[in-house]
Amino acid sequence: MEEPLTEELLDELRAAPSLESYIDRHNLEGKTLAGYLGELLAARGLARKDVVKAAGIGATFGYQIFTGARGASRDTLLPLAFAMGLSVRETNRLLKIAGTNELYPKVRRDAIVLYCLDRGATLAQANDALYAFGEKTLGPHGE
Amino acid sequence: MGNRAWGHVDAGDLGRELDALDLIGSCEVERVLKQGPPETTELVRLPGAGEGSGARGIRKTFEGDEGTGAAYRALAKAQKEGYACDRLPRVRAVARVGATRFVLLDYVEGTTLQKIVEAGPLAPPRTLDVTIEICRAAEELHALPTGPLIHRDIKPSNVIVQGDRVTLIDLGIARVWRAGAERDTVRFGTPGFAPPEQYGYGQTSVESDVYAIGMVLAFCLAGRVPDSQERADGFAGADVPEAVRPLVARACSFDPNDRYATVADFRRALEGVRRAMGAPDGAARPAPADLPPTSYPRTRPSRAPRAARGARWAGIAWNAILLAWFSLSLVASAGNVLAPTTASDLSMSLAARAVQYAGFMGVAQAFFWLPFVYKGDRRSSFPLVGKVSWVRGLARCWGLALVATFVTFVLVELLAPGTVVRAG
Repeated sequence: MEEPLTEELLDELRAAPSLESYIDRHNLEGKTLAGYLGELLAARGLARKDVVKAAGIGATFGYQIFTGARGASRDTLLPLAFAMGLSVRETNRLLKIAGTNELYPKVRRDAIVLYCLDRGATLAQANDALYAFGEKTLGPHGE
Repeated sequence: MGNRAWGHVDAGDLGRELDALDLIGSCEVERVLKQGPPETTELVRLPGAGEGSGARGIRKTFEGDEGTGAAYRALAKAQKEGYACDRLPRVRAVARVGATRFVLLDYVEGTTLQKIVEAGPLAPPRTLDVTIEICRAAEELHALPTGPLIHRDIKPSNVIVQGDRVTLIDLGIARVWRAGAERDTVRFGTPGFAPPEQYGYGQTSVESDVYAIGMVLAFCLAGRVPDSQERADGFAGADVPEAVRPLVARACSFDPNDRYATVADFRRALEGVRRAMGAPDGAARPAPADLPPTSYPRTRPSRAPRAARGARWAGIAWNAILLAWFSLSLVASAGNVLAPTTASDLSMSLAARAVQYAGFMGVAQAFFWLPFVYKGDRRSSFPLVGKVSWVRGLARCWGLALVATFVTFVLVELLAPGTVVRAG
């Protein structure tokens, strides 16, 4: 006897349970770091200058990342994520596009960062939490 | 750490989440039971638990924005606060990272109802016993202190049976019932067991779980999921015993308002039928105590007025008052028949008066026996809309009233001779 499985009852995006993960799976190729950063800025109506400053990154360095002249490591991207108020999903996408590791809940430091991102904390608040839990803080000197 | 917080980041809460993630992440995987969106289920070895049956756990990972698995957090909280729910899985830890939820559960020993029925349909008494236990499990979910959880995926493969012990598992798509919501936002479920409203016609509620339990019952008796034609026929041909048919038909009505309003109502109906069947060895089965009654929301207001709860002595006093009033009326009527005083009464023959007052008392007794409290009702609450059949109720109260009247007659006659017995 075949066991009836729990499934979406209306056959809409049957292959992917959510629109977001569908996008994740299909739309990431061809995106550049600079491009995605630009999209995020535009979607939120933020100015590059403000974001770079809030992330504690040097103005020149920040300009170069946003224009695609240089890549960025996690070190730089996570502060940017906080400065832009990204969600967990957007942050992981950003890290993936930049060719770095996504935030992994099994790593304690990552788990704290994820928790803070999820609750809309600022970079300063996230660093306070990381410090309080004995983990390295985010920023150019951190990782 | 203390009570520190940074913005919305609370140190205590973060610490607990980290501990939960730690515990959940450190489990060794024995076997992957289910893989894929939205849920991954693994059989794991609990850290530091050694060998033996208590060492195994179930780890679930829920991905996706639909909020699958969120119900486990509510259950975990209730269990931590001491909520008694023996028929639900024991949650060891819950954690959430963005849109991903992790849950660690105790492993439930036993066989799924699906596998049991695959080996052959169950005998009706056994099926009813199991279904009654499933009902109690669903009641535990609906009575959760943090808010009723509608399971929404009650089916044979989510029921674990071991001897007399029944556990309802898999709260992956369970959700908290919210007042005022028009439709469920996400439509998950299992075809065959999910009620029509779960396909998008309305919000799922306790009646949705009633439907699913009804279909499980029919499945166990028939050995397969009955199709819609059999449901339309009232399960006539589907190996469902005649006594059970109306119960299943009602539980699986298309319109939620036609079903049993609560799982407890369905269960009591099943218990009634089960008692009539008797135990396999012929002995009468003792009825277990009811769960404490809670009020949980339904899709429409109550059909019957809710019984107020009062002390037992109050019920007895109430009965005594009713009885006294009724017997006095009876005495007065009998008196008027035998020894008429009013002009209109005097103008009628004895027979006519008898008929008149009999009619009058016939009507009056309805007002007497309706609010009467029956000792047989385990809830012993008052006043009660009687669930005893009207014939039995009538016989009962007339019998009591006649006895009371006779006693009153005798007493009055002894105390004041000549009052009652008079030449007609």
